[in-house]
Amino acid sequence: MTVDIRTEQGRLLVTVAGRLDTVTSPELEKILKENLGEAHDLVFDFAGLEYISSAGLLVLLTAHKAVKKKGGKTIVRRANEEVREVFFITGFSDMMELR
Amino acid sequence: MKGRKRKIGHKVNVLLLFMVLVTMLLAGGISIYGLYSVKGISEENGRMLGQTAADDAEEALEELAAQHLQDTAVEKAAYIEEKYAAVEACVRGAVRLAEAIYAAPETYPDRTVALPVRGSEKLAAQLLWAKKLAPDSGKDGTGGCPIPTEELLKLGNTQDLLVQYNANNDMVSSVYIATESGWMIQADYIAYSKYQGENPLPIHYEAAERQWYRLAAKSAPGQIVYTEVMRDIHNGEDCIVCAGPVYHDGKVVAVAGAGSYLTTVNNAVLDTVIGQAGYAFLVNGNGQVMVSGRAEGETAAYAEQWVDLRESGNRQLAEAAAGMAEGRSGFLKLTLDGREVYLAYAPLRKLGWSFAVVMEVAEVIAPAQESQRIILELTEKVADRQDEAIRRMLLCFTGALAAVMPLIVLLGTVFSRKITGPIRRLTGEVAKIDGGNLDCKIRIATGDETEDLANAFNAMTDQIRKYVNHLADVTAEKERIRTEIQVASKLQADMLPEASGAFAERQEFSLAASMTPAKGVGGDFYDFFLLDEDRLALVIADVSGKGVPAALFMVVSRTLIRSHVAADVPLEQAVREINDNLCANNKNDMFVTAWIGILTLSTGELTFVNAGHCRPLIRKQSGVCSYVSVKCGPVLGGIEGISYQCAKLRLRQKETLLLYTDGVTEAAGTEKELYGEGRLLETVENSRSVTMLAVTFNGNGFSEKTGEPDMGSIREFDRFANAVLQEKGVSAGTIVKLQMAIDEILSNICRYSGAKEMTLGIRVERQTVTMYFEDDGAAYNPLERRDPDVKKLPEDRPIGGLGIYLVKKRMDGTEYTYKGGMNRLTITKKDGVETYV
Repeated sequence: MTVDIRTEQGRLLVTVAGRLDTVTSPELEKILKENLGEAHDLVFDFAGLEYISSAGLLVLLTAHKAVKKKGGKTIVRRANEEVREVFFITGFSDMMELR
Repeated sequence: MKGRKRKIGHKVNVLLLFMVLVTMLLAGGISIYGLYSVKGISEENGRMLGQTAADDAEEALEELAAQHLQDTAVEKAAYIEEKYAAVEACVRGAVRLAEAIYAAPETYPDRTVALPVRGSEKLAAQLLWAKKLAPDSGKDGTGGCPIPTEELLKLGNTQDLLVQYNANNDMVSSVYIATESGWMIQADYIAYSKYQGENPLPIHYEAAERQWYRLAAKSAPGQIVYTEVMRDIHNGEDCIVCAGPVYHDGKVVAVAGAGSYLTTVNNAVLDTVIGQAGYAFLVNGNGQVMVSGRAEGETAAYAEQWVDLRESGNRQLAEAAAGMAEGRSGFLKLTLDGREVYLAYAPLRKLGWSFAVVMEVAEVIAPAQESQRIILELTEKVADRQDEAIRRMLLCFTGALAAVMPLIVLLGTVFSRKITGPIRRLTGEVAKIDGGNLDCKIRIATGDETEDLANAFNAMTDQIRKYVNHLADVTAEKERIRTEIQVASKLQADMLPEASGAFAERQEFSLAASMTPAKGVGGDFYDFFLLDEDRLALVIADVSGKGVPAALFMVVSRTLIRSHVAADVPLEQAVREINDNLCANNKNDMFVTAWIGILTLSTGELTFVNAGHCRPLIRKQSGVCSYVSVKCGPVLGGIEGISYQCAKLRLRQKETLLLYTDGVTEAAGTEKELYGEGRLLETVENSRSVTMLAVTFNGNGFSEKTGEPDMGSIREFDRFANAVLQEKGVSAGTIVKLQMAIDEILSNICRYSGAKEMTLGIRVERQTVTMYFEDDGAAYNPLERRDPDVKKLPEDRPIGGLGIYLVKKRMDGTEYTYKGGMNRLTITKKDGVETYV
């Protein structure tokens, strides 16, 4: 898994590639905690993400909760079919904006 | 055969020859030894005889010589003494007459004595005087003629007697009377010698200074004395003076003397010739040699240079001289001038002298030595004759030996033929037996040991025949039994199922087995059979004891096991029944150790009972071997009514269970020891047992991976699954979904189950992927967990349960079981079919 963090116009852009599973989730969780800071909105670019497991979902949920508290929103973009499916099954698609 | 005959004959010959030779050589040797002894004795005798004869003769000769020498000495001594007796008589006569004149001078007329006549050699009485009487002791030393005193005139009456004495005695050279007063009347033939030069008067004669006068003047009346040998004052010849004192009124007034030349004595001595080299010598009272037949040497006479023989370095001579001086007579043998001589001596008592005679010993004993030489010569001749006799005897002996030798050889040949004949016949007969004809009888009647030998051979042949017949029977019987055992062994082997190629259609397992009884038939056996489609029974057993009984018991045991182990009977019950059946009617107290197991092919689960058998080995996929250590039950057929307990284990894919009879245990070493495949086989092959059954569990079509449940190992399971699925050609989309499922399920196990081990199994069949997850943690069915309410926003609902919900939703089937302490979650997914859209 590789993670790239960028902040633009009050948005934290997180680009994740590879697999977000039980093993890699804690790393993403740690990066988000450090960088979330003042960001209003959270944008995940999942173009390079192969799949996401429940552990990954929980990291996203935690981050989403923190953004939402500040009145911001979480956007997931360019996720593949596999990841989208997971989002749909688990109802995460209702919580986040899928683009 | 022929060679052996010749050998015995040869031996007899050699023995005979040897014995005869030894006997003859012994006899010959003794004879020759005897002859040589006799020869030696005779030689010794001859030598001794010669020696004795010589000694005796020498002794006799010596005795004769002694006698002769002593006689000679005594005779000569007597002769010389007799001569001097005459001289002495003259002196005594003169003394008597003079004493008579002194006693009664008046009875005698006056007579003048004439002066010596110059140049006269006629016998005459002559007047001489001492210097003290000369009236004028003038310048010329002669003085004048003194006036005759009365004493002289009266003494003049003796002159006729003196002349007469001289004339009548050839021993006497001069006779005289000298007075104390200085007169001297002398009768001799040498008047001419009384003058010196042209002196008209005769020379003074100092009688008182002469030895004879001095000796006689000191003598007692009537005593006669002799002087030593001395040089005559007038003519220089050796002489000796005999003198006697003339007493008057108790005083010596004159001395009468007679001079005697030694010539007479000399002749007596020198004429003494004894044998060839004998001689004589005369010794005076002072041990001096006066006259000697020898001109030089130890016993020569050295006038004027007298040597006292008593002081001679020759001790024997000195002793003899002492004897002579003491007036003894004697005979002795001594060395003189380096030669052995006999010496005899006799005294001349009146003169105090000794006459000695000498003779060489060699001369004396020469005859004796001659006779000894002759005797020895004779002895030599006798010895030569004896040598000749011995030589002749040796010749005869050698001739006899040469003559006897061929005779002995002939006799030896005859005898040896007699001895070896029967043996040759016996050999011929025995040769027939050698050819295998045991019915042949040897017939020899020599009446000696050969016949005994033949009889012994016959007895032996009989025995051999009996043994051969017996042996044939026994061998036939043994062969029959062996054949039967072979058949039985084959039957026993055929009874067991053939492992190679058995159940070839079944992929789940493969079998290998071997059974080679040590001795024909035995009690080891293995067995395997399917109880139903999913269960395989495995048996290894070892009957106590060996051979036919063990084999029979094995058949019973196997039949019982086959009939009791069944699909619908719990294994422990089946084993108990087998044991009870074996115990009933087991009168021989036989038993069997057995390991009986049931392998469930779909799961690899192995249920087994160990009835006193050695522990099987399991070889893991990794190559590690370990024992299956479970508490043993008692042996089968031992105690009736006893119950057995089952044990269980799981065989994983590619694990091999090795069953064997005892023997490997001892060789295999400690548990969990690493074995390579070769090492295990080697151990089993080298063990005593050769009955083995190996079953390899190929798995139930699942690819499996087992590992420790921790988060770190999840990736390894993931990679394993990816590899398996890709290989099976599963599509990437399906693989991702399955990977997700693996992640979810394994992470749950790691987090919550508390398991020590977890296993992932994957099978792809007809485009359907089946996966199972197994762990030995706490029993928990995740499928029973309530699904999250997806109608609500995630942030608004309790967290958790998402993972298993995802699995349930995305897989085509999920199933949970808990069996044998294992949680097992099985999921299925059809490839290429979207489950959730």
